[in-house]
Amino acid sequence: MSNELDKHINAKLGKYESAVDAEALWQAVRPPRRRRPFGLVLLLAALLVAGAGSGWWLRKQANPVSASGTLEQAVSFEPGTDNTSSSATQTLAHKTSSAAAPNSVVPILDVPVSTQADKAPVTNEDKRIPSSFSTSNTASANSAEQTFPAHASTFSKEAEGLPTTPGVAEAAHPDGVVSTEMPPVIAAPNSKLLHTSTVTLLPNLEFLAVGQGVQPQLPNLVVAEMPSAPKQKMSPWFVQADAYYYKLSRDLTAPNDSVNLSRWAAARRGTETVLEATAAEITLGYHHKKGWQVRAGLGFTQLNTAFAYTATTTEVDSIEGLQMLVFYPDNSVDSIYGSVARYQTTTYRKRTYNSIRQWELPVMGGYRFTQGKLNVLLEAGIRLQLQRKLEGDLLTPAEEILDWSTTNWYRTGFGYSLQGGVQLGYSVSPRVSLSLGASVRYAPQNYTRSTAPFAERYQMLGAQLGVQYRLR
Amino acid sequence: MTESEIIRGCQRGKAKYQKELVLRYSPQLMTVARRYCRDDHAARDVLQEAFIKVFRAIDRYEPTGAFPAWLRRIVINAALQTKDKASYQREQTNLDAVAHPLVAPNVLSQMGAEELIALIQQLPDGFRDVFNLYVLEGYSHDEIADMLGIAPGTSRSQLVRARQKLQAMILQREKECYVKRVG
Repeated sequence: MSNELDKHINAKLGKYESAVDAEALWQAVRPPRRRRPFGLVLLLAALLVAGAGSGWWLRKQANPVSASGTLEQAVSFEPGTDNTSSSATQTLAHKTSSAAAPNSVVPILDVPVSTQADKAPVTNEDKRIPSSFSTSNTASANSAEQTFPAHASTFSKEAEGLPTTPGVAEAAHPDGVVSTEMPPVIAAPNSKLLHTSTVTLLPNLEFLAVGQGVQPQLPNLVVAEMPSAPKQKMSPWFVQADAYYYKLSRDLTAPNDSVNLSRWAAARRGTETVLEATAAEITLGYHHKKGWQVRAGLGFTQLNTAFAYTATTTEVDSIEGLQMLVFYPDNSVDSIYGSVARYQTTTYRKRTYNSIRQWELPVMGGYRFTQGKLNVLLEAGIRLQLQRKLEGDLLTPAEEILDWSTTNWYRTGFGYSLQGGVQLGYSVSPRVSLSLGASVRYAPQNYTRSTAPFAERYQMLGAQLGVQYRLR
Repeated sequence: MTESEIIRGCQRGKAKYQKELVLRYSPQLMTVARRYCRDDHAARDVLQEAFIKVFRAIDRYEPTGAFPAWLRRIVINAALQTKDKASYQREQTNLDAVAHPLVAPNVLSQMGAEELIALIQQLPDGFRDVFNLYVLEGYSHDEIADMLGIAPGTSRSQLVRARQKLQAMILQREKECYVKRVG
């Protein structure tokens, strides 16, 4: 008989298909979308490419000339003018050079540089630019200052006729050596300018004028050794303050195969709404002149979720009351009293905002492309979490409200996350610049400990607003 | 969509194939889960848990055996994990009162699958699991003993008791049906 029973049950149930709501089951067991750190990497890569492209474009705009920095300069001398007069001009790219023009002061390299006449006399027949030039900011030729203006990309010097002021240039500063391998020789009166030569500015500025019928002997001016402009000194150190607004993405999974997974996840997803994260930080950084920079400081991040729970319970009490009325044919009525049920419905609502607050140490490195007042910063780094605090409630599968802070489920100590971003900056003054950018944070670690009944992790993508101040 | 396509799709994490797996196999697996649980509600929980495990473990699935059998094994494991192992020992001690009725073959043949499942669900946990594992899954007593953490002798005796209990329940049900028919 046992065999009969076994066979019969086997035959009946072996391939029997029970009715099941497969769609509902699928909705319940549907795996969460796989975390895609690769997507974040792609996003970061796209930001990097965009930033690099912008930087390249900015750099290209800033350097329309070849990277060698060679500028061709024209030097011209016209006969009939005093080549030491104020009419003599040189033009350099946004810079000025000097000339032996008495009684005129013109900026050289954005600052006035002049020459003092050498001891060698300048005559009508043979005017020589002295073999050495002053690097001082003042110059004189025969006790008179001489300068000439400069213009971008061309370097021209006009000598209209013979010098009217005999000048002798001399070095006003012993260190300010301007090589004069070929002292400029101006032709005799009425000499005609035959040729305007080109000179190479960088690394050495040379100009050469050839007069008709004269041996072309003009000085090679070594600009590299000429005085530079006293630029406003900028410290490479800076202080930066940033504020961030992030869109939060939460992953709720089970650390191990547990029946609790769907229950915990369902309970929490049904009662919590993931909101946003805000962050602020202040950092001290070092900006290298080649564009690289690093910064580190102190940051604070707050992640927000909203908790809302509504529960309705009905309690049945037994109280003494009227149970029954009995109507008799003679119109009499009996009232029967006894315990009757009293239903009491209670609706419980709780709404609160949950927050995870953490102090961090951001350490960021990046590269800044600059053109004029605009700059693009590509940045990536790590945020070391120093402390984390939690405040709020969560719903357990048993529909009990649990205070986050009373659990031991979250990591509250040291941790880390990765951050990257791109910032577009604008210098409102030499020291102050504002920046606006995109930022992404990736948390490789769970926020929860392994002992928690669920694994929780947050990823962030958002915008950044910052201000930077270059220290003195 | 073939079985191998579903498996490959699930291994790539494609929702379309995962859904197809659930839709195709959940009716059979629900029967398995119902046999191991006290009621259908518990069976649904077990089935849900089993599919979650399937999606996690399918990367490691090697097509050495039948895929439905692999799925069934996961459902069985999920069902057994919800049980208190000590209950198998406790149930063994209360067997003497079970009678040894006989069920006529014609009575058996009149019973449908749903009725049989309902009867199996009424068995105590230990009886039910041993009966299912031995009669319907084909495990040996040694294997059952390993799976449930009991001695092989306990498995044998629980199988016997489970059969007797089932027969008794079938007779009782037949008796009630007769009374209804006669009036």
